[in-house]
Amino acid sequence: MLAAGGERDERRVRRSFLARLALLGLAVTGLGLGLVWRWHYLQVERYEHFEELAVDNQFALERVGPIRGLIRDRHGVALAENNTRYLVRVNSDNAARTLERLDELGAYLPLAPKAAAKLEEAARSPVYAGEIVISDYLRLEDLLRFIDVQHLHPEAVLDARLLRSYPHGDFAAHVIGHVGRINAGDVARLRERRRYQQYVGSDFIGKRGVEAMYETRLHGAPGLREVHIDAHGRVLDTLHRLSPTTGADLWLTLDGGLQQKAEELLEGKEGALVALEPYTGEILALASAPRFDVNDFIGGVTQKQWEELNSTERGAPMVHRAIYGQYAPGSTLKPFLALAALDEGWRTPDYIYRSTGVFALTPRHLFHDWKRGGHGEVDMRKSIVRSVNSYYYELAHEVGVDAMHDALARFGFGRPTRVDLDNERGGVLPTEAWKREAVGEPWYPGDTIPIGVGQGYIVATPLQLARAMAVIANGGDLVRPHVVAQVGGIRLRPGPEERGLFDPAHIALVRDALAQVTLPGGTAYSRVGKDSSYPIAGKTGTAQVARLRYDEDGRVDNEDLPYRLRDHAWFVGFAPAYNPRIVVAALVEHGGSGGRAAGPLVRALMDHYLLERRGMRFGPSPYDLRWRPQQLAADN
Amino acid sequence: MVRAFVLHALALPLRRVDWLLLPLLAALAGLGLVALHSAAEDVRLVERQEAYLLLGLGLAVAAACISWRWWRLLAAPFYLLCLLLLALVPWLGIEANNARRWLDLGFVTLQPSELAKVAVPLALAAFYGLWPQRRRYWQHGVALLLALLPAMMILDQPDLGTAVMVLLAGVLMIFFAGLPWLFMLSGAALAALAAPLMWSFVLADYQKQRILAVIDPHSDPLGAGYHTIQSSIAVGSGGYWGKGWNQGSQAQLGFLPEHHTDFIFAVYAEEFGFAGCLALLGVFMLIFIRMATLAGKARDGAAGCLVAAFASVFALQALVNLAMVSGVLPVVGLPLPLVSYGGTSLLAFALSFGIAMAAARHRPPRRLGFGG
Repeated sequence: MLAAGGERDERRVRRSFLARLALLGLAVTGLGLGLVWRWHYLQVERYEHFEELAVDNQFALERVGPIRGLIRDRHGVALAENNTRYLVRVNSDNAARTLERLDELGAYLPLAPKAAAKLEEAARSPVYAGEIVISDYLRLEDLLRFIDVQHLHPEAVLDARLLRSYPHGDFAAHVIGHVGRINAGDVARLRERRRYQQYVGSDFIGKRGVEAMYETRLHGAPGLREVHIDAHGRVLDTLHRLSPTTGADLWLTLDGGLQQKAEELLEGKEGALVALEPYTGEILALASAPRFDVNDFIGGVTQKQWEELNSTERGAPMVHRAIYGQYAPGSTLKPFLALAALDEGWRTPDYIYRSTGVFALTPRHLFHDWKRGGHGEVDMRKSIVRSVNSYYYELAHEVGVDAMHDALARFGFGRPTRVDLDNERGGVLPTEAWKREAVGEPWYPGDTIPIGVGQGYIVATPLQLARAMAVIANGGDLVRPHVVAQVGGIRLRPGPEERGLFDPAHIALVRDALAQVTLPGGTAYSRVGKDSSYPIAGKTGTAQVARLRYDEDGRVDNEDLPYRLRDHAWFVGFAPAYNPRIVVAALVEHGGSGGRAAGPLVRALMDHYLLERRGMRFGPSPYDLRWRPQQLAADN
Repeated sequence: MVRAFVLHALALPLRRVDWLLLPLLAALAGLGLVALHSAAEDVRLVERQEAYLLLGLGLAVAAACISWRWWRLLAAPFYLLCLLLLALVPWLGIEANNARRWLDLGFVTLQPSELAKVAVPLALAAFYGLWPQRRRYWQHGVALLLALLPAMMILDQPDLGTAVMVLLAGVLMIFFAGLPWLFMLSGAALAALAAPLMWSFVLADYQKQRILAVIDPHSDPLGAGYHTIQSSIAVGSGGYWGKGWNQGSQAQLGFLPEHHTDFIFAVYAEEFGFAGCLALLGVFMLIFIRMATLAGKARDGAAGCLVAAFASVFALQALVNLAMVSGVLPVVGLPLPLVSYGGTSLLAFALSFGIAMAAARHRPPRRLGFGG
């Protein structure tokens, strides 16, 4: 059909060509009209919508992270501050180029562990992926080395940000706590409390200690700035700015010098020291040993470090023994039981108990005095001064566990002190009901007897004991211990939980007895009271770790036991005895007898506080006669 | 006397230049420069494009001065040279964006696939010109093969957009050369049937994503849909009169990708609005109409086909690019003719217009030609 030549075919071919040309023209015109319709839709009908999108593209509201408040001790010494931290970052646009030269950079800089992976991801991403930090926490020598070669790596930008730092390392580590990077758990918590928006410009959040407890105040509020950005998210200029609110500074009640002394005293031991201001509940020192360096936590700890910090072999440095460690109070409980007994009318001061060295519940259930053969005639004063167990065995047996519970609860045992620190435990103050619930066994009469001397099911934290001792020291107020004195310039003065708990006459009697403990003839004379220029009131205690074993003579000597089975040593006291300025509780784990291991710590801490820190002078004066050693009847 | 002869001899070829078409091309290129000035961060790009533009106009005039008889002879060598260059690309090509499309010839970088858009129709015109009055089926078959060969090489680079345009140029030549309607229709039906197979076996994942992105750009706003969304915002926010030259926030702040090459129209549309778009489309349509008129007037059948093919390739590429930027077609790597930055593309189109002018003015000897 196409084969034939000639005029007619020629014309037909040409007609066909023109028709095809016209068809194409129609198609092109149609498509052109389609485009016009599309442009009309985009530019006329939906103009406002797209205009808005274009404007949205250009402006952004950015949050500017606030500066975290500082933490100081009661004299203003900075315990947590904000230092400059240097880092090197790379814009995501330059990720691919940086990746090629990462090895070169690695020669000068300690690269962040995931730097390469993050750069690779950013290099692959079709859109702006923000800034990638390739090296963080630069040390001075890295910083100087990098500055020398910076011109070779224009894409790597040196930047400075604020970093929380703890200038004294492990000083008061358990109290101050630390901050850490905001993790998924923190985000969830913040969202729940609708505070997440406050953290958009922040990297860190308080994880432990007062850093965590006062997080809301320390953190401050972020500022805002409205910025003009380009497609890469780069800020071109700032239009409006609302400055962030710096977090409030915290002033602690801790006395830095005393805290340091307490930590020195605990060096090489496992234990806790608590120093309280008896009238206000201000915590002057709160030490727990062993310690850990909080600075390690800011960048995050490795799994291995974490395991080491929590291993019992190394003494579990993370455990805040002063508020989380629960120990049997041992004989330190006696003055409280004595005071309660006076108040409840269970005993008069003159009640005489005849100690024979053993208290027999039944012929087969024997409870021993620490002194073989017993202490002879014992009144209340002597029961405390000589720490006579059998006096309290009898008392406990007589009143029963539930009555003791109610009496001791007035001193704050069995519940947390609600100190402003995290991870506090409340100890155990048993009742019959408690044992059924917790142990699943009924209460036996044999369970009651040891409670009288602070053994058995009863346990308490060093802070609880210090607070209970403060009740005697300050004349009957159950104070609320706290470590923060002021927040953002406003003083915190939590009033006592309970006032005037006991008759002052009864308190005076117990205090006299406690003062005699450190005098010749008392259990703590040689280790605590000897050569003291001021009177000290206090009580030793020994918390049994392993169940007592007896040889034919009676007790096995503690020194012969393996370390982990040795008793914990307590000393809780206050000074000066008749005008108390400080209450101290000391616990030395596996220290053996209380007077020997814990007593000297308390004495040293009191000396340091009263004589050196406060510069108090005690000399012979008529008033001193008041507490001058009274001649104790010779111990039979 | 001698001087008049020399002048006449020089002026004679210039008579082939179409003085209606040339100013239109210059106007379009001028609009392109205006848009480029706004889109390019680097003023050197604009200067380079200006140089290419002058070179292109010179090339168009020069090509128009060469008689169609010579062009017919040059077609085969040009086509072979083009194949050679395409064959060199995989070895010597410059890699960019995971594709090798450019050839570095030392003094200039060249995109052989753009040359193929000229070489293929020219070769087919020369081929059909061998039998000015007879059309046989095998001629169409050979013509299709001649077009397919470079198209496949370009597809291998990979550059789907240009490959399709080269193939389209060939198919349009065959169409204008008189392929029976039956074949055209069955071919179209076959293509429709093959589309699902293409989807499954030929298209790469990123190409599929681009196609899906047009249907729903917001399914992947930062990935495949990003170009479509951002260019739609740019075009839409232009409104009636545009934001003014150099005032487009989308372009100036870098939200538009490829904003001086394939997406230059978005910059133009944002800054000059609906009115500017209509003006630009008007210039395109005028050029197309003038070319179509030239094709219709051509005395030589094959030459007419060539002019028509060039006109169609020009118009279709422009429309596809505009549709792509307006968010109607998937993102394919096709520049806007004479407007987008890019030397080879500009020179190739200038060459095609020059050849078209020469071809349209050709007066074949009476006994050979049809028409007239």
